[in-house]
Amino acid sequence: MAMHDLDMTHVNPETRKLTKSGLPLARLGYGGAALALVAATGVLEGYELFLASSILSYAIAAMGLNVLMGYNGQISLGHGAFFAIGAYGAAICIDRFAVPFALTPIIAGVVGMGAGWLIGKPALKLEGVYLALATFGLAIATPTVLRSDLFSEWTGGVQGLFLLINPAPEWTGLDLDQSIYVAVVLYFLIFAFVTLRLVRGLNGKAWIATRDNPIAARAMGFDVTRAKTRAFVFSVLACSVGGALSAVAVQFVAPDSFPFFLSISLFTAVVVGGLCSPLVGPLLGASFIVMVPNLTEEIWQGGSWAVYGAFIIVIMAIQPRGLAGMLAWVRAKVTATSNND
Amino acid sequence: MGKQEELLLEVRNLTIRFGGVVALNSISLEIYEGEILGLIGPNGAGKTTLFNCLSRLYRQSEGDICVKGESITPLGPEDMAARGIGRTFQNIALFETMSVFDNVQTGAQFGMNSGIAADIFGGSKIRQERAQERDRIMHLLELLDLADIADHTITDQNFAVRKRIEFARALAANPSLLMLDEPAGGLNREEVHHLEDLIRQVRDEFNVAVLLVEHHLNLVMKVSDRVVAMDFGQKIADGLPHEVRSHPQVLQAYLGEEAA
Ligand SMILES: Nc1ncnc2c1ncn2[C@@H]1O[C@H](COP(=O)(O)OP(=O)(O)O)[C@@H](O)[C@H]1O
Ligand SMILES: [Mg+2]
Repeated sequence: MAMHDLDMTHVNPETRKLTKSGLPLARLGYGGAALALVAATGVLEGYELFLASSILSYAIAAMGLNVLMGYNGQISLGHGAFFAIGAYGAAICIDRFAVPFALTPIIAGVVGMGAGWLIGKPALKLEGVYLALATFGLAIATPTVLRSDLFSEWTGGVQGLFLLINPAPEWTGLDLDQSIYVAVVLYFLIFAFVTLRLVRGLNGKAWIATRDNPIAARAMGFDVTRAKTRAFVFSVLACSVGGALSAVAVQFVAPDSFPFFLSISLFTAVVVGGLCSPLVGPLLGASFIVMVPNLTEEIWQGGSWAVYGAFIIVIMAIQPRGLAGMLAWVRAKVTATSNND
Repeated sequence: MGKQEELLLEVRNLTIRFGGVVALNSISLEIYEGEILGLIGPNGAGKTTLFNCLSRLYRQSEGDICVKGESITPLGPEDMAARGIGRTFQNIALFETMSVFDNVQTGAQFGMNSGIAADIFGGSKIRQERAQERDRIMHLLELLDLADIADHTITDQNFAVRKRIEFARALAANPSLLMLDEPAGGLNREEVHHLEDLIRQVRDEFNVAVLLVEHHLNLVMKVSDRVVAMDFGQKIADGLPHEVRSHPQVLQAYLGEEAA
């Protein structure tokens, strides 16, 4: 997938003017990447489609979390809880109400946002490590709540829920894996578009200003509380939708799929992918948390987490802006050499 | 251009305490539209504290502040841009990861539609509004000699340039009162000269009142239409620059500081 590095935090106003006045190179790039994602439906098969669906689901969650952590500078170690709410929301919709699977992320998103708003109101009074710890509490509580007998009639308790998912109508010619993948791609593209527009718009300004200097932000007329709440709710929405899609892709939910380590994985995806790289970072970060644990298992059986950990350390040591930062560095080098020729 | 006699801002018996320290002690003063009011006083006199009250970052213990006859006491700092009160910070408060252009642009966003839908769908009206803002900001950057570094990051800029960026950011809001907290700090003589012209030019071009806090007394006396001197949170003199300069209490306050 050839996407541009899209860190717009340091964008040059002149470049912005050019793209506005009919030199839509970047737009062509996005269009091409979107087409490639859709076209992959016919190229990938079975397990590959499942893997791609998983990565894109996590990428949606990471895009939202990147707005919160990257653009707005708040640390959460608990967004796995919202991923779980989305996943169970979708699962219950399918299990109980036979909602078509492609619509479940919408319902899960609404439910998740409600939960996020309720939790965000008090939580956002906290900052920095205090918010990180409070959200981490959420992550720790999640599996226990999901396992609990109180809700087991809905959640399936320890056993979880198997999801019976119907493929898209026959006239589309899509099998089940393809149907799921197409739905995931659709949601991914929507989130990619919305995220880009927000971080480049006045909301992005408000998020960055609040992160960089809250006092000056207020003096410039930014509503700091509103900016923080919006970032939090958007991140929760993205995580719920990502969770719903991932549940659909796996066709199964159980408490063990949402341990507190999931929250750490989402955190890892955002930071390893690259803070404040709105699209490429979350995509690379999601690929990292989905694929690398399997790879490292091949490198050193039984010691795979040691290798995984070493990868994280090395990436952070080389480039604090993560994989997206590395990609941008390589591209700058390539452009520089080709210009010298 | 002399001062117009329209009252813009009125501070009445303003008092604020921090623990045992009375930073402002029942101070009263007026600012008229379009005038340049110099505010002087030794370190710790309460000048910055007064700025912080006027921009609602601090809440006074007693007294009231009115802008165009309306009390701003119940308002918060985020409301002040819309009331026409803009400021710079003594110790620089820029957005470190934004470009120079983006920093200045933050000053101009307060009246604009910042809804989620406006960002996502941004129709032609919103695009037009934002494009007009861009042109106005480029003009400001040119006025303050910042156009060449518009797309540079803040991190590379020295103290004097940062002060100018803050100046531009405050102006971007089209304020009716511009409060400058020690704008000459860290400037060399030539730059101070330039600042003098700039403050007058800005007042004339934007028809803005300026509240100027500055230790550089020559600068204050030269550009101000009127000067207020304060010490220990109280007003000790208020009048034409040459009157305040030779006021016995002012002399004493400054001599006292030099002796200390
Ligand atoms: N946030 C604060 N907390 C405690 N004391 C403060 C605070 N802000 C100002 N002060 C005190 O108020 C007094 C006036 O300070 P300031 O307004 O900064 O003076 P100036 O700007 O005239 O040099 C000083 O004694 C200072 O220590
Ligand atoms: Mg001061």
